[in-house]
Amino acid sequence: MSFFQRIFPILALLSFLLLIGLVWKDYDRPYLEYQRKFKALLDQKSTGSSKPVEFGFGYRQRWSKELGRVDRCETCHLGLDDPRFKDAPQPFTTHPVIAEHAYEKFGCTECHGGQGMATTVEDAHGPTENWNKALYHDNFMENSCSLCHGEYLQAQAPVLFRGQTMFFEYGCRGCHKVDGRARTVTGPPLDEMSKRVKSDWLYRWLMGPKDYWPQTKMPDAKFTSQEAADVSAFLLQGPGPEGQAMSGDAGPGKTTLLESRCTTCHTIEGKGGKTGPELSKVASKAYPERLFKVVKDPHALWSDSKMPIFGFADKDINDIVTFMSQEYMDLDLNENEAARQAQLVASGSKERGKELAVKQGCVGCHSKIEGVKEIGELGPDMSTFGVVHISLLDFGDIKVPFKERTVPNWIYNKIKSPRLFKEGLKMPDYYFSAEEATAITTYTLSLKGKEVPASYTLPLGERPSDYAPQGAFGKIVDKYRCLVCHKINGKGGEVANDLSQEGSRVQEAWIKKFMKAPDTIRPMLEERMPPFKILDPENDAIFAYCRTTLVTDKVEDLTGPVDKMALGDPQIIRDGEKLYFEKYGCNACHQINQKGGLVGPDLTETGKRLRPEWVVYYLHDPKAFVKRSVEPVYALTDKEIQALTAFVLSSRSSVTH
Amino acid sequence: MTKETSMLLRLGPTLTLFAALSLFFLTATGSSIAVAASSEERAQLPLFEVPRKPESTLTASEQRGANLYAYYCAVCHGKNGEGDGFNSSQLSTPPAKHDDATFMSTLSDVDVAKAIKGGGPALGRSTDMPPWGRVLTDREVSDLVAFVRTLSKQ
Repeated sequence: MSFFQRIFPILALLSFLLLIGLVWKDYDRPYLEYQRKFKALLDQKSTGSSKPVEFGFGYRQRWSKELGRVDRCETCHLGLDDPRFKDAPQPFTTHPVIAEHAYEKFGCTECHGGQGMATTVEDAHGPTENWNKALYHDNFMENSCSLCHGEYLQAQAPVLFRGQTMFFEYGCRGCHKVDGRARTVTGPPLDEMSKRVKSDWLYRWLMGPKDYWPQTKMPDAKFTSQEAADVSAFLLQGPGPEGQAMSGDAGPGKTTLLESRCTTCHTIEGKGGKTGPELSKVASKAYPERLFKVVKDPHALWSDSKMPIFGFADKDINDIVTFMSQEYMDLDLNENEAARQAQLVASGSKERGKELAVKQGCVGCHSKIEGVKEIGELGPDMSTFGVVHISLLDFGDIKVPFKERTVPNWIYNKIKSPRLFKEGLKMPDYYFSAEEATAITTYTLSLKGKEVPASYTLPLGERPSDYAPQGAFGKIVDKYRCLVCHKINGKGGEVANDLSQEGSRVQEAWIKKFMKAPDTIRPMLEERMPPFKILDPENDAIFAYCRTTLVTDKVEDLTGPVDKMALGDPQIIRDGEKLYFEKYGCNACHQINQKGGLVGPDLTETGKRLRPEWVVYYLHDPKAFVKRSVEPVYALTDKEIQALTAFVLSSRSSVTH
Repeated sequence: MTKETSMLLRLGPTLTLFAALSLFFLTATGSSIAVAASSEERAQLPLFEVPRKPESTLTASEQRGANLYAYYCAVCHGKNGEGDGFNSSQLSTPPAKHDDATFMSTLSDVDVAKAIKGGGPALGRSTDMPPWGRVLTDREVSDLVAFVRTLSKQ
């Protein structure tokens, strides 16, 4: 017998065993283990029910033809649509509310990320080699909503919406392009700096904007002491301040300042809004002559300024600035230290300062920097950054384990500490909190530049409109910057009430009086409408525009029926009073003559403020105008609406004017 | 050759080995000190952060309820259900204290849902509590009930 003849049976046996092994290995896939566990759980949950448990082992797969997706996630995630698995451990947990997002139509990976065809835990969830899309972390999940619904999902995707808002408020769009969104330059122009601010202040500001004012949106460029002095020297080249200290009267100045409700936008001694800059240290920052100019006409200095033109007389401004110069000093400031800082700036190098200003990209947020070219976006284009390939992202010197090397993690860390990955990176530090960084990351991930089929597109949320009133009213809105606080036809701020239907809502005499001397309607609001020096022709133009344009037929068409109501009938008013206090408890939220709750607007003298048609319209459907108002809805009968309207309109102030 | 020199010669390799070994260990210790220093330096750099789930013991339904509670209820019932919202002092009947376990145990989930949907009168109480049944969906009401329950559990 030859050697080969002897070895042949052994080799044959080995080959056979190998074949068995391969078949077995192919048969016993890892997912079967999960299916067996699920079957056991299912049996346990179904004990007692008469129907036999049906469960077939094997792959489960969804093919969404329109989206071009094949997802096998349900091979292991077996309890997705079975509410009995609400508290079961993963991978069997029930998917929370799925009604509008059926698997048949959407699959899983379109929203969640991951590798749909994979059937092992590692490959399906990722990150894995050659598959860019790892499963999204829960924190960033809302980014996918934008695919079909857009990014204005305030109610449904608050994190995405917040990120979107922050992206533009913090001026990210100044350096990063996003298709379809215009570039915004959010900081003030930096011309005539030497006439505006003191050199030691500018040095301190550049050393740490958030140390000076924690709420500022200005990021920290992390200049060294010498660099801050150089940049200050560069920005401050040019003639110094014109004019001398103000010689007004501080007493009346203080009164005017307090009455003008500056704290609605400005922080003074730690209290107030953050729309404008901090004020209680302003005398150590800006020259009095400049403060005068800002109060007189802020738009002449910065056309995008949010500050209204109050219309003060020069003497009043003189008094205000005199008061600010005397009282609003930085009390923590050491004079010797300030002198040292001023000296540092005086000896700083303008050339080096210019180089730094260019390198740092100050033009991303500021215009009119002398000698520095405005060249548009300096940073990478963000239009499709949400689907950027991981290989294009540089983790630099930071050792990151493979499991964490994902696109979302890179973006999150870049936003949280922009210079983390490498020395010499330019993006300044905003000191965002974890939640803020999460929101902006979510928005950045939503920028996929990818379109879903038309049948999937369903824009939700309120898109800002490009409403821009023209003519006399347009000029008034621009002068007083009404849209910083108020919204009209989808454009403007959220601070004060929406004015889109104001003409249908309030009466002529009231609006004209209110514009001259705005009083308080909503007792709990911290923001107060500032008293502007509205001119009579302006007041007429405001009313005319409101009454012709800011109206709704839903109210106007009620004039006929309301005229027929006996709103002055004492018996009906008494009925209304009973309903107001006893049946519906309106006083729990509304005040009349200092009695009642503070949630809704004060209803004293409503008869002088609101049009009867509006009251009827509002009582019919409180949500018709403001959808998210904190207002209960009652099924009021027409008779009750008539009585309540009559009572509310009859309320007279107990204070004699 | 004397006795001493022959002994030195025999010890030679041992000594050399000893010297080499001590040198090796010394450098090894030295370098391990160096590594420790650089890792300390590293700790001062902002470290790469992995996004963490916000720490919350609430379920998804309870969390949705919490958001609604803050928006609609906290003005009177207070942020944590202590009955001390800013509007509470204006009311003739003090708002229910949802953090009071004894009081809450007298109400079933159905009662709480009834009070939310129908207001105070639904349970024969004050009209100061308005009905939210036409504002909130049934799911929102059940989310709110779930959250209100968590307030008296701490």
